[in-house]
Amino acid sequence: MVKKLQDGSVNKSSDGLVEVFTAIPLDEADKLKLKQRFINIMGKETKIEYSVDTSLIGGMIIKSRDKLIDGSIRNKLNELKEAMGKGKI
Amino acid sequence: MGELGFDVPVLVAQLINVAVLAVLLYYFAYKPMIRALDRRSNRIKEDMEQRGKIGELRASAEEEVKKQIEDGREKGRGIAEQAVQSSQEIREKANQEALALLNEQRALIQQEREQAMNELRNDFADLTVMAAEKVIERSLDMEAHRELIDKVLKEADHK
Repeated sequence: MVKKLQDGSVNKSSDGLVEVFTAIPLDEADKLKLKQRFINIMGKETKIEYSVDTSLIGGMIIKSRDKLIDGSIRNKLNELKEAMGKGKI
Repeated sequence: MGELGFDVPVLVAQLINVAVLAVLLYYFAYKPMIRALDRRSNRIKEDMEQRGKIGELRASAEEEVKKQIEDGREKGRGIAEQAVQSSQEIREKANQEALALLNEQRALIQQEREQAMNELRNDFADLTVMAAEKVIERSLDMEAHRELIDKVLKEADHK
């Protein structure tokens, strides 16, 4: 999923839609908190679509029409693996 | 004459005898001796001329031999110099080829070493990440998940 997000092959978000991917299912309280945070960040109410992807291990991916924030553990581990492979660590 | 004690006929006869003896000696003793001396002299002269010619021939032959020896030495020196030059060229060429081969092998070894190091690094990275993944998966509880999500949201605030 992370790879697909990075290469844009699942970039189907329409205007105003925010897709959120997490490793665990969020309860309603979490979703409410998230929604409030997005309103604060974007300055308006936004439609949010939640998906669970266990391969993320932890963290979250936020994807909107023009923005991708990959804060998943999977992404961090991939960066670590790439750095180790290049001998930077 | 008779008064002086000379007998004329005897004197004449003696003079004739002396003249005949002189003629006989001239033809049968003096001339053959002169001829023999001349022949001897000529033979000695010829011998000396022949010896002179032989000497000249010997000197010429010695000169020719010396020249040939010198030519031979010159040729020998040329061949030796050429052989030395050829051996130097062969040695230099062999050294260059050996050096090129050595450099090629060094580059190949270096390349294989780097490839092996890369493979080792990649394998090590795979194993490390796999191990880290297992540890993280086990250690993450709901609270930790929420903290991570919150952290991502904070990052989103700044972007």
